[in-house]
Amino acid sequence: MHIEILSLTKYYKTKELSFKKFKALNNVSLSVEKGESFGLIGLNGAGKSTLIKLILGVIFPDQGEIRVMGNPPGEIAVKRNLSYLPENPSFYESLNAEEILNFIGRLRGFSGKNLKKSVREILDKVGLYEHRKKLLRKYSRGMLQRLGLAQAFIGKPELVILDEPLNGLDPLGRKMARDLIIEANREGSTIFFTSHILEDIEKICSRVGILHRGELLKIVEAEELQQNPLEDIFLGVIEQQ
Amino acid sequence: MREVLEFTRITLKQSVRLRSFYSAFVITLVSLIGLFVIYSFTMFEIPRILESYVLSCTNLIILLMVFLTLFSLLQYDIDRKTLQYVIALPMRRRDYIVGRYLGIMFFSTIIAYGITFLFYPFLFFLMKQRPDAPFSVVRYFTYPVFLLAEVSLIISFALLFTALSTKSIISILSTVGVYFIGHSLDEVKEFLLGGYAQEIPLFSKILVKGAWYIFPNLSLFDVKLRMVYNLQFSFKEALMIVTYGIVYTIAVLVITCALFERKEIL
Repeated sequence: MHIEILSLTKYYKTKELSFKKFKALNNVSLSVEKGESFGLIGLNGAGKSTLIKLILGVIFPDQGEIRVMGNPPGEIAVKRNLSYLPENPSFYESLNAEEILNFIGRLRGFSGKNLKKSVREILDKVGLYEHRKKLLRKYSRGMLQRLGLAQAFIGKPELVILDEPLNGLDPLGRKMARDLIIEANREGSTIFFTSHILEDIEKICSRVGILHRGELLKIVEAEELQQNPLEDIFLGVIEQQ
Repeated sequence: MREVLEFTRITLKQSVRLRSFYSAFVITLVSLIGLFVIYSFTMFEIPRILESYVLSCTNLIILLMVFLTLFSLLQYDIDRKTLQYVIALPMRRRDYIVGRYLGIMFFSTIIAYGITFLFYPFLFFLMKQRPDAPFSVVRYFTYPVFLLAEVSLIISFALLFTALSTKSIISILSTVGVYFIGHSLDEVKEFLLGGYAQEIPLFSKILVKGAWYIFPNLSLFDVKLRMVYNLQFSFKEALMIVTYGIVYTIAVLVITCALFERKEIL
């Protein structure tokens, strides 16, 4: 099991200094197998990003338990084999793409020629090689998203967590991103993917979870996904609520 | 350790590429012109005035740079939520704190000694016009060490407030507050508890005494006048001041790392 979530509940304060809380996630349980491509869909505010932050160990659960690759989230052993693309990637603007990728590559244990080769390969794949020396403050939204994908896939991590990875990309960029994700999955990486664009999820994921108002309402298995359009399944589940 | 060094390198690169770095260079050049202006207008005590001016400029530029750099980097990390992404990278949370600290510290050292070396030939040339001047090269190049010990504490407090708050402006304002309290605390304590003031409420006395133990005594690092006026300043005392800065910094960083370990990065 690559991700195991048991009865997870998370509260947020309504305001910073307030004692009032609201439930962002309610008793969520799910598991993602090694090598699987799992999609999580839901309306805005459903709790997708909260669930990702909990898996990453950036925030902590109020109840329940998470195991990532058999360890508690946030542990260095987990993070060495995990990569993450945030919803709105905000990398350090005063650096260039090559420096960002070198930094992340080194953190993943690459060095010397291996690092150089990996950086060049991934920059070629996302179409940023020519712009590798340009400072990120001069990058467009789409270019930043491409860099986000590059940093997520450099070094072929075991688990890749992508929060709305196709946002801000043009049609060519979307195809490139989809191909990159599918290729990484074929090569053995586990993909955990959130999006509210159902078409992307359908093309990439083998299983899909539907999250609504903090509750995991349904897990759509591969067979059901092949038989019915995801949009119909999703709307059917949401309308029942 | 590799993670700390990598993040130190990133911090150093970010700091050098900030626009404020170029502003520091311009301010230094303007200050250099000021040196000659002061020389041509001053009639008495020229060497002391010049040395005092140079040390004051170094002090001002470094502090300005450190606060601007801290503000830019922390604003990016906290307000733009880059910290969430950085924390998810393959490094420990404490690597972020130590890497940021070392990066800004290296940057401050480069600037402090850069300015000191830049001023030196001009100051030396002007001092040579007055052979009776008590100018010591060793003393001149030792001054940035005290300044950097103070900067070290400022950086560690800024990181501590980053671990405690969710807005960069709060961290920076709190750090500025510590800077002013740290510089005035010694005098306030001397005034209130040294018998100069009368009828001080017990509560105020306890408050001042408590603050004196909690906040760093930054006036210790202000050795400018003692250096310029050649006041007695032993090696042992200098060492004690620097050691105080280092020990205090380590203590603050340890507390910061412990708090940051449990901080939710929203």
